Amino acid sequence: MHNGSNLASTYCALAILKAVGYNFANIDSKSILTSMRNLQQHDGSFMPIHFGAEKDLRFVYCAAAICFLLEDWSGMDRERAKAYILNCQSYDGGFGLTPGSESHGGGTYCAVASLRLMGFIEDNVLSKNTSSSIIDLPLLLSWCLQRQAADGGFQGRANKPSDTCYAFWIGSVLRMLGGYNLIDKEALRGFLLTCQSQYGGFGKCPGDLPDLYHSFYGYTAFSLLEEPGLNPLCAELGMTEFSALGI
Amino acid sequence: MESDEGDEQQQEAERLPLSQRPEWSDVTPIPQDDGPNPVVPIAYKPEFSETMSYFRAVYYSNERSSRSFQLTKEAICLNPGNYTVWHFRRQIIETLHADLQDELAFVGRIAKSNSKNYQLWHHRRWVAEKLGTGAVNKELQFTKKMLSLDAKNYHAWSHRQWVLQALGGWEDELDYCQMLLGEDIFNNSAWNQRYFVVTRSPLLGGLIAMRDSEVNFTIEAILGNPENESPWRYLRGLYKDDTESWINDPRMSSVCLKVLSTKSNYVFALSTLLDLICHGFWPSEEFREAINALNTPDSGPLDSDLGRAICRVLECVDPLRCNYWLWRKSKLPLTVSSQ
Repeated sequence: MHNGSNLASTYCALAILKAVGYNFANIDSKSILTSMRNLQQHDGSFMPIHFGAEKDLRFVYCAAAICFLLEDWSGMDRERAKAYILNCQSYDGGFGLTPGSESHGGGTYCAVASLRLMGFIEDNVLSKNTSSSIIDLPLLLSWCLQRQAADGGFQGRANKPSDTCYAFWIGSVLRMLGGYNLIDKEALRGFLLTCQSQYGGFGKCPGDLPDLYHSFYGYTAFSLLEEPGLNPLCAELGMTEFSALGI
Repeated sequence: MESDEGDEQQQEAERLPLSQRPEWSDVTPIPQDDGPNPVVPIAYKPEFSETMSYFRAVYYSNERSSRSFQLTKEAICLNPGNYTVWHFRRQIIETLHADLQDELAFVGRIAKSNSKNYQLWHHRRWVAEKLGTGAVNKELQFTKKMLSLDAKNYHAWSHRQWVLQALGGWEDELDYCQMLLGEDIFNNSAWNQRYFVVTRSPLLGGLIAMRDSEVNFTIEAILGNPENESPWRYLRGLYKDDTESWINDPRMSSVCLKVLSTKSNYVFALSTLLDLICHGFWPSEEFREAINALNTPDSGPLDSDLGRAICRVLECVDPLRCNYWLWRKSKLPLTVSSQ
């Protein structure tokens, strides 16, 4: 088998097709979902490819996003995936990419977005008075908000420098939980503008040259900030709401 | 089976095109097929295109030979992110029974300039797994070396945790964490690893058994740098799933009081005290006095409810999270004043 599929590529392909308004009826969902089931491990995690690779929360997210986009959850065992995700919550409230690893902005995004897509966390959960939640919500909230550093930007881990992209990874988590308004938006905006390059686009840190990755997440971060002229964002999929609906 | 040692840097300068190498003369390179309408095509350097075209030839014909093995090294050095090449290299290693120690050495040589490459670390794990428990010391050494270059390299930590759980070697891990924290008490990765060891090491007694000494160590770290988030989170983590013991441990509130008394760097002390109160801790009068003594610019008389008073101070002294402290205040249960 020389041209095996990759879960991350599949997620990207489907997201792009969704964004450009492609008719999903033409996609062979059945094959994708069958193939995907074989990538899920016993502990609930996913590998990206069949012949072996690292396994962590990134691919659980890819799987959940694919099922969501295809509107078909036969591609994965949601309960097992949920169990793996819960094992990734660290003692400080954030999520690591694997059980035991340090809590990290990207891991936390993958965890919360996956749980949201799978239907395990309700809309705007912070505004509800339900104290029962499958994750330690107050600790997660505290961890996320503490990621906003003195320079206004967001860091991916405690005691690390701020980085443009975490304005999306962490900002999205707050948005998904219904706590985005708890951040200091002006301070964040100020930080992001210092990361905007004179050539256009965004770099990782103030003064850095721009790259596509940080530019994309810089824009999504501004969308979360409801910057005039930008379309609203679907935080769970990392696409505009219009794209997510296939408009 | 020989592999060329340490020539990865040399290769670039002295490279002979594959088309001119006699040992490759029988192979027809297969160009990349991007289809009829490539979108955002990459402007490959000729040496890259050539290398990958020869790779495709041996990959599709499944030629697991010495020359293929050498070719995978060249392809990896040109693009270490190509997981298909790494995978084929592993297949060749198995077929030819290549020396796994040599392979660890190869990964070691290219690790410094590829320290955050997922494929490299997966390959290292694959080799180590094949070697089994005999690889423990080498892997702990390797990750230690990588962490000396970047004490927070996520991949290195992930690999180290895998080694400990899959192959063992827990003996010196707590000491290693101690050493790293001695170098940088703010290293959150080292704090996380400490938690990992304390909770999972088969050589220690488990969290409950370790809790007392860990609390004392953590409190010392807090008092040394109360503005350091890591030990505060770690302290709370020591009482994970045991809120009752947490609020009943007098050391929890006393460390908050100590920091508050210094009147500097007390944000985490305040938020921790707030959390303790929210979970049922009854603060004595000295806490009220300590808050009053902070003398923060406030918009009105101090609240009779200590929880509310703390929130109001935090709104001032942690302005970045002002909205959060307002929200926390709004969520406080309406209690009778603690007086």
